[in-house]
Amino acid sequence: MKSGIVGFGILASLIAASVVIPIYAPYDVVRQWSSVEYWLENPRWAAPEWVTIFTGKNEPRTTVFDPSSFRYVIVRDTIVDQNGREVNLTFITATRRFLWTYDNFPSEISLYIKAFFPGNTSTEPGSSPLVSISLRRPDNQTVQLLGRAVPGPEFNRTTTYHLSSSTGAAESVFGNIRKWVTQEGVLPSDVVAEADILPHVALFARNDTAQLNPARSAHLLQGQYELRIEYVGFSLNDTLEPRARLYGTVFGLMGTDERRRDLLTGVLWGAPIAMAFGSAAAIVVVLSQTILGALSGWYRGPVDEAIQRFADLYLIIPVLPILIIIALLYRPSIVAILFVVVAFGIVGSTTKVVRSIVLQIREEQFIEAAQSYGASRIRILFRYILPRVMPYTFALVALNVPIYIFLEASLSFLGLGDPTLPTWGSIIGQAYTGSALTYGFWWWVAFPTLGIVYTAVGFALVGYAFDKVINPRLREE
Amino acid sequence: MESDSVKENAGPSFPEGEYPLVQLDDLRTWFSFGRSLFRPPVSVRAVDGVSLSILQGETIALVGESGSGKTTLGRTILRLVEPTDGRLLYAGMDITHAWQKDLIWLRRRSSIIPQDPYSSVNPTFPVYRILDEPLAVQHIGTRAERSERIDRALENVKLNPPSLFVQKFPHQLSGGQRQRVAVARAMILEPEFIVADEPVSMLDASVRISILRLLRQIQERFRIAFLYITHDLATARHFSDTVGIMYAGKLVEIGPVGSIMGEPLHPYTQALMEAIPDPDPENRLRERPALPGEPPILTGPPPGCRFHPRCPIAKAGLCEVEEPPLRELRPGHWVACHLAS
Amino acid sequence: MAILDIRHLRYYYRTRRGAVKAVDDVSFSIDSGKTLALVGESGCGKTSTATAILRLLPRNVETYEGQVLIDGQDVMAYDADEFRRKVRWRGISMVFQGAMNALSPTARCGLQVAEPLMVHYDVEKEEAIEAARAELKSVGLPDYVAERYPHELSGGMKQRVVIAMALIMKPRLVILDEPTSALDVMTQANIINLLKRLLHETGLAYLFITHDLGLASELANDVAIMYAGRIAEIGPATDVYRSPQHPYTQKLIQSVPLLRSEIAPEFIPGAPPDLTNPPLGCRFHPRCPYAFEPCGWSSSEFASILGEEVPPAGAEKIHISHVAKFGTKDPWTLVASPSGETNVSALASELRDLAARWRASVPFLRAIDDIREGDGRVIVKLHQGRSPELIGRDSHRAACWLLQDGGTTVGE
Repeated sequence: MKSGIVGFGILASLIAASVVIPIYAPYDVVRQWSSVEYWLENPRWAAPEWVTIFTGKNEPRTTVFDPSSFRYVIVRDTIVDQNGREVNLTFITATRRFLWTYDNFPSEISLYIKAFFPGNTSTEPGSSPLVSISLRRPDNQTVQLLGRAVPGPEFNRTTTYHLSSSTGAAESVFGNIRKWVTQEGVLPSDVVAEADILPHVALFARNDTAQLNPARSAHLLQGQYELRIEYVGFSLNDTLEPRARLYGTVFGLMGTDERRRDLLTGVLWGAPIAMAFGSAAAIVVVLSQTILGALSGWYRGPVDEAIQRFADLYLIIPVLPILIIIALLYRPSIVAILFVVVAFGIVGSTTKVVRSIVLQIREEQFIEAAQSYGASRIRILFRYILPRVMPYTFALVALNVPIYIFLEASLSFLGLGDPTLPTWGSIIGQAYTGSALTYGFWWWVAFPTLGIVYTAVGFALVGYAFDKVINPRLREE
Repeated sequence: MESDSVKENAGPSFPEGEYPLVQLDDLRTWFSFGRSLFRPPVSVRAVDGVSLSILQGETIALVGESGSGKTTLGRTILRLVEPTDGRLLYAGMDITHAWQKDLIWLRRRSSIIPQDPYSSVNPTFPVYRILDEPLAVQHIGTRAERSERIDRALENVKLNPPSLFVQKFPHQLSGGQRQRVAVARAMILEPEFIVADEPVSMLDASVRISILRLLRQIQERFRIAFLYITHDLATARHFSDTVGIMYAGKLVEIGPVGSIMGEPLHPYTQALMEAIPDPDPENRLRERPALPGEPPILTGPPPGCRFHPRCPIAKAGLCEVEEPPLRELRPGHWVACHLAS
Repeated sequence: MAILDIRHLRYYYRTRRGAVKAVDDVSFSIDSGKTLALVGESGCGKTSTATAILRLLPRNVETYEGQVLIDGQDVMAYDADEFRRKVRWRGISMVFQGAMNALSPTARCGLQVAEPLMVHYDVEKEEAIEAARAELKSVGLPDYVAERYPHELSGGMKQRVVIAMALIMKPRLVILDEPTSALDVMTQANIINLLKRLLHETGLAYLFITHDLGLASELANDVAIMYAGRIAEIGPATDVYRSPQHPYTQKLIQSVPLLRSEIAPEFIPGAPPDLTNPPLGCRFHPRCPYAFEPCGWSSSEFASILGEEVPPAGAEKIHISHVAKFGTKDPWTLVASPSGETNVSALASELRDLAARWRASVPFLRAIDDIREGDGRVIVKLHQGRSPELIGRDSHRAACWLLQDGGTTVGE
């Protein structure tokens, strides 16, 4: 019975969690599960924050520099150039000093610069504003990250420099960093390629042979850094909105996945989804099988034959492969999956179990006595026999819930489940395709797995406790 | 409203006086088993040609060993089982092959007391509900009236005070108390005929007498006809008016209890009586007279008189050829034996 | 010399509700060639006595003491292994209740009968089966039974197989626990005849356990009547049946429906006591019509009879008109506190009146020794009851206080 109490405790906690979730992360959050922009502020593949307790290292949290945290020096002037034309100039220097005291490199760096130059309508070449970005390090080296024209003459341009990827506008950044590494650093130029550059490491590491290697050997340079953005615009009312993000390596209670999603949200939301799906499926299936089994055992004859053959057929059907095929073809929503699962569960092993219980009960003498005072067969079935069967079916429901949770998880794992919902199976599936364990992102796999195991154990314990309560009574009677 | 349906369901009514409530005419109940593609089905001839009548208010004990067909006969009379052949009349109505839905009136007027105190009452119902069900099924009375009937039924079976017992569940009661509840349930519709199927054989010896005495009191007070099925000839002696002995699906002897006990005429009855020991310390000095062998298998009984293979006085040329008919050898005392006189 | 001599055997086992005193100071002896019938209602401890003798004890044993002498040798001192080798099935074997249903359905009968030989004596299988066949023949079974499975045999044949199993090791004594309970009358008679024959042919002895007095009389030289874990009466069968001394034995004999007589059976009112909390004094006293002072009506019994709605049979006439609450100070002191407007002296005199008027017909009132007032309450002192020893002449004794000083119970 103690195991039953533990089981009930587990279930109670899951139900409590299901109630709390909407408060911590309302359903809007779930709808955002497949979006990109919503999660942009989170680091990718970040471990849970509490690992710092075990590693002892002060892992960096994500630091955001929004425009208001920069210091601006703005000069606006109109000058006359060598051709005698009036040229409007805006010089903006935006600086941000920060102290890097963490014990590890940031996981990514991104830089967004929004430049507003509505007064510059010229389309002549050379009329685009110029921007130069540099970083001064604690060892007093300054790395020129970028110096170029802001593309396009239109006003309201936004340019993003995502310094950790090597595509697009950031390409030249990589080249610049490489130049700096090979010139100021100790690594020879013929060895270092652009592809070897990891800006979030290189910019923060000491200039030595290990500068490019983030794994263990690059030496972090802690201290005062300054990010400087210098802008020259050719109109008078230019404004600059820089925004920088130094992504940390840890986030939240359960870390993040490759799409920067907070796994705590995902895993917690997995609870009510799993519970709802599992319970709904288990209840409907067990109820259906119980009633059919009871009808089968009570009426015997052709009804019995028909239902039993039906059940045999179903037992042969391989549910999971068929589900996979249906999912592949139709990409169903979770409700549709539920319907299909239930359809495959109308009859099954519970039908046979209930039938044999009913066969036993119908031989009992009070049933015969009931016939002798004129009780109809329906009455006997529903009022005398089914109540005897019900406690058994409670146990079966509890034991079946994990089966359906696993079924849904399997489908989601294969990527065939509802793609918009954060179910445990889908998270594990994405972890698998994202090679989480190869890269050591254990949190991505561990927490959803724990969720499934925890729920399954909870239901199993409750189911077995029910069984223990019922069986002695069945034997005694 | 329910009194109308009660009248409709009452079935045929009779003038006062003694009349046969139940009449059996060469009744047969056979069960089929083992139907398969390879073999024709086998018939178990549980009841194989029984004729008798039960008068209103009469207590008749049906005695036999296991396999004699007595239990099946009891169930057949109540139409819980359909006879295969012959005629079954209740209160003059032929109910041999009637549909169950046409027998609701019979259900009101007759009931059964089963054998096993562990399964004779519904273990998931409290006593109140067990006794209320027959009333509910037959749509009798308002809630208040039913409650009163239940209390009275419990008093009649000496489960006092009723208020204490109505809440209890069967597993909280002793075997004897459970059987009393089964008796109360059988009584609650105020039947005129009760089949008691070995009602005390699974109870302790000391409880048996009190239950049997209760049944006798009820029988006398309410003038109910009883069919008391048992294997125990001694209790049959003390609690019934008429005794019938069954062997291998047939009735071999039937008559008033005094006549049968005082002068058993069928060799099987004689053997049965000799085989039962009364408490007598002289018994250990003697061998107990017993019949060798076993009762016949009901799928293929022996030809002629079923008893002839074990009969000490069987006569060759007669007993294995011809089935003996029931003959009235003493007043009211019928015997199915060629050689009895 | 007696084959089996039990002296002061005690066997209690623990349950959630307390210790069940299943066997509480039981003594008897059985000689070679003789049968002792141990008779009683279900729950009286007769089967527990058998399992205690064979030391087939469950894990929740609380007390197991006394002397069990087999051919004069006290086997209580043996350790488990010795007991198994020397006693169980060799000195004493047993036919259990419902044993015919406990035969293994997957082994042929010959093998099952041979098994004790192979296990205990290390006999080779071939030899053992030969011995088994011989034994099956001696219990009257035809040859083919050795090859059959139990479900292919009738009830009577299965029971004979079980008896053969009990006899194969040639024990000195066989314990038979309701050996014919599930059998038909005719088969029962045949089995009893078999048991009689075996008894006469060999020097076997039986301990025959049953609730059926008629059946017991078929084999018994001596009878021991058991009630609530104790022996109520013991003696030669002729004496016990013809002139039973203990009121319980008398009632038991009267409750048997006789086939050959018109006399109607009488039932015994009440129920056997709960063995976790048996009545103090003589255990039968709550149901005994002759109970008097030493028999032991305790204060808690009084409190429940006088205080509760459900009076025992015969005590319906008792009615306390003054409202009172009854409590127990110790087992033999009843305290009646008047409640409402009752005053103490009125209550006391009503109780005295009750005791005087009804003591002749209502047994429990005879236990009242003294009624006194004090402290605003009525103190009722009861006679202290003691459990009676077996009293009587020679070998016929009964545990009843009425027999003290040469009294008798017949015709009281």
